[in-house]
Parts: sequence; C-alpha cells; structure tokens
Amino acid sequence: MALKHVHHVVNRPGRKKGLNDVTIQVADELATVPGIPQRKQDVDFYSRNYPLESQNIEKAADREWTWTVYTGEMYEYRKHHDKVNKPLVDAAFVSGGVEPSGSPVVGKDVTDEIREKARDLGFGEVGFTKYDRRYTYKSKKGWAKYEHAICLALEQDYWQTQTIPSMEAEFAHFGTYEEEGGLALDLADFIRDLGYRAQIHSPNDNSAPYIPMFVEAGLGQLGANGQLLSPHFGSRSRIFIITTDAEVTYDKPVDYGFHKFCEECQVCVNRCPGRALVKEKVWWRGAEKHKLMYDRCRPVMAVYEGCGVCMLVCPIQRYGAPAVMEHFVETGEVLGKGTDNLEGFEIRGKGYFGSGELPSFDREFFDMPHGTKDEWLFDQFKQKLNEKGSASSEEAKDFADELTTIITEKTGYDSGL
Amino acid sequence: MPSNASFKKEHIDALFGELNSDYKDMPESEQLHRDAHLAIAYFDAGRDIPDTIDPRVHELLEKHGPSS
Repeated sequence: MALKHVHHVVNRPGRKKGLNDVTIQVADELATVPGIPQRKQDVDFYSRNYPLESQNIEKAADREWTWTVYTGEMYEYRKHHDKVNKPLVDAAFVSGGVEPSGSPVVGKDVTDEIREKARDLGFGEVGFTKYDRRYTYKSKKGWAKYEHAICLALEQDYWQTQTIPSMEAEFAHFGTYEEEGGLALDLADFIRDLGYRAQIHSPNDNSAPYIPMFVEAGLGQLGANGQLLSPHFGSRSRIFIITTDAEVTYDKPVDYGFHKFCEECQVCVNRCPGRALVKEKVWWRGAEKHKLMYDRCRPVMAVYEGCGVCMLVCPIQRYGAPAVMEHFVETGEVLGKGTDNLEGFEIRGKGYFGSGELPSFDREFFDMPHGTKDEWLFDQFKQKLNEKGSASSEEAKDFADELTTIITEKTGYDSGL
Repeated sequence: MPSNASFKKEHIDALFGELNSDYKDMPESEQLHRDAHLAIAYFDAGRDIPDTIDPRVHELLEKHGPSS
C-alpha cells in the first residue's frame, strides 16, 4: 500500500533511443508548477536593466587563477582538452552564417525529424522552445541568430561520474564536451540539409544560461544544486542549444516534482564540501531558485578536480527519477538519503567522508581573485597604494602595461569549469 | 531512513571491486553499475530487491552485503 497519493504521472521516452519509455509518479506534496515559479515582470526588468554576462568575462580573474591551483595531471589534461575542443568551439561560433544545403518543404513541420536525428546521434534529452533573448549575455547580443531553440543534453558516463571528485570523472566531464561538439556539427548539417539555418551555441562559449530554456522545453527542473535535473540522469549531462529558423513546434514545461523534492531531499546541500549550497530558495532575477555561493564553491572545484559532489550525491543522478519518485510515493522517503552509498565521497589528501561527515578547510583556502581581470588588477593596485601610500613610476607603468594587455586581449572562449 | 545493517564503505568497495574486476570491459558493465547502486539503495531502505535487477548483482549483494 503506497504511503502517498499520486498527483500526476509524467511519461518520458527512454534514456536512449531503443530503451523503453518511463513513467514518473509525482506525489501530491511534491506537485508545484510546470517548470519553475517565475515572475515575468521581474525577469523582464532584470534582463532589460541588468543583462547577464558570461562567466568567461565576468569571472575571468578566478577562471585564470584555476590554472595555478591545478595538479600537474589536471593542468596537462586541461591543456590537451582545450587543444581538442577549440576547433569545435570555433566552428560553433561561425555556424550561424552557413547557408542551408537543401531546400525546405514549405509548411512542413520538421520537429519530429530533428528530434529523431538527435536521438539517433545519442542525445538523451531533446526539446524545442523559443530562444529566450532575455537571458542572452551582453557580449552575445549581436551574435545570437534565429528564434527557435533546440535544447540538447548528452549524458556523461555513469561509472566515471560516480568516482567524483577524480581525474576519471574529469575525463568523463571534458570528454563529453568533446563528443558533444562533434555531434552538434552533425546535427547542424542535418538541419541545413532540410533547408534551414542552424547556429550552434557552444557549451563552452555560451550565449546565455541554457537551463531556463531546457526547463521551458520540458526537459527537467532546476535542482537545489543549481543544475538542471533531467529525469533520466539528473545533472549528469552536458547541455547546449542549436537555434534555427526551421518550422518546429515547441514543447511545454513539465512538473516532475523536483522543485519540491529538492526541499525534502537536501542531500547536495548537506554534503557540499565547501558549504556553498543553501537550504532555502530565494527569488533571484524573477525566478524562485536555490542560489549557490560562488565564492565557497569555486576554490573547491578548482583544487579538487572539478569537485562535483553536488552532482554525485543527487539521488536523481544516481538512481534516475522513476525509481526515486516511486520510492517517495511508496515510503515518503528519499531513496539513498543518509547512506554511504549515496552520500560517501573521497577528497584527495583529506580522506573518505561518509554520511554525516564533511572535510574542513582553512579560511585562506577560499581566497581567490574576483571579477574581471581588469577589476582584479585594479583591486591589487589599490591594495598596494593603501599599504605603501604611493606607487613608484615603475609600478605605475607595470600596472598600465598589464591593463593594456587585458583590455586588448581577445575574450570569450574558455572551456573550463 | 537507512536500516541499521546498511552498506558501509568497506562493503561498497568490495562489491564494486569485484564488479569492476569481472565486468569492467564488458558491454553490460554500465547497466550492472546502475543496477548495483539501485539495489544497494533498496537494501539500505529495507525494501525488496526487484526482479528487474540483474541476477549477478543479486549475487554480489549477497556476497558483500553487511549481513553476509
């Protein structure tokens, strides 16, 4: 006899093409709204007056700093990955200008053809929605073309991900980006063969945060870990979008019960090594969400192979939504919560931390550069002036030279975390 | 809530150690890993292990579980 009443059931295609469809039960007390609670007028206001900017630019100082705290193995692997990945990012950047290779059949909706092709290529989640320009980064405002977004998620290896945090998990993380970059080019070619244009919005040179569009396309809901929780693999995927002028039909947002489930679960919040996740949701730029504390998260990610403990310990990631939500209906409990199997992890040099145990870090561990590179340079110069009272002409010249280098360098691409 | 006899690190390491040594390079390895994690979760929750779990995982659970 089930403990909870089922409010509604969500049916989804299997995790991969060829696998059976799945059913996800949503208990009464987990039902909220399809997608994510939003205040449209707030989203509009913030996007108009305070447009978002890419972390590649806004957080460039700490992104550059991460290279200085990598292990030797991680440093070499990142260099290798960037070399492999850069041509894919470059190809994505110019993809929107490539002319179609076929002729469109006027009036024919090609949603199913594109979805089928994407599933053939291996994408686990495929959805269609409007490209929401309210989220476009300042630096990409003139770049983003076409009004329809195809949201695509490629699952990363299951076993490797369960070894988080580790180099093995980083091979899965960055390797999935490399695979995805190639598949994106294939799918864009397919769309052009249908007679339409396609622009690849790289996962490593984002035009916007893609999660709101994935939620709108019904591919998941935002989790307490700040990541998209998709029904089959939680946040164990790498996401990007392709925009197109093809004739397509939009999907609708879905209530998988995750918005409320995360409040019950809280495993990622409790297990975060940096204590970067917060229990309570806040309203942020017009959306109700869990907002992580970047300054607590970033140093742990940088030093410990991308960390990712919040991905590791998510029951949706580990067991999949059908089993987790069925267990909640049957028992009223969160599958795996409080067990070493779900919650245990190892931190290099610090040991194993079972359920209820967390590593500790000195306060200085969280010191890192902030903001853009020029902001950080200016902060350091001000600090020097405060300490010494003045700067020598040589120091002033060094400052000016460094600033010139920063403001004239090409920004944008950074395939890092 | 997990039962008193739940899988601890040593049980988990032993189970996945054997799973990896026997099946790591086989095509079914990934599904066995998924099944093993799910089966442990059901065991820890005090629930029956469903028939959908691969029989080889049932055997590993018997062999390396906390009640073995």
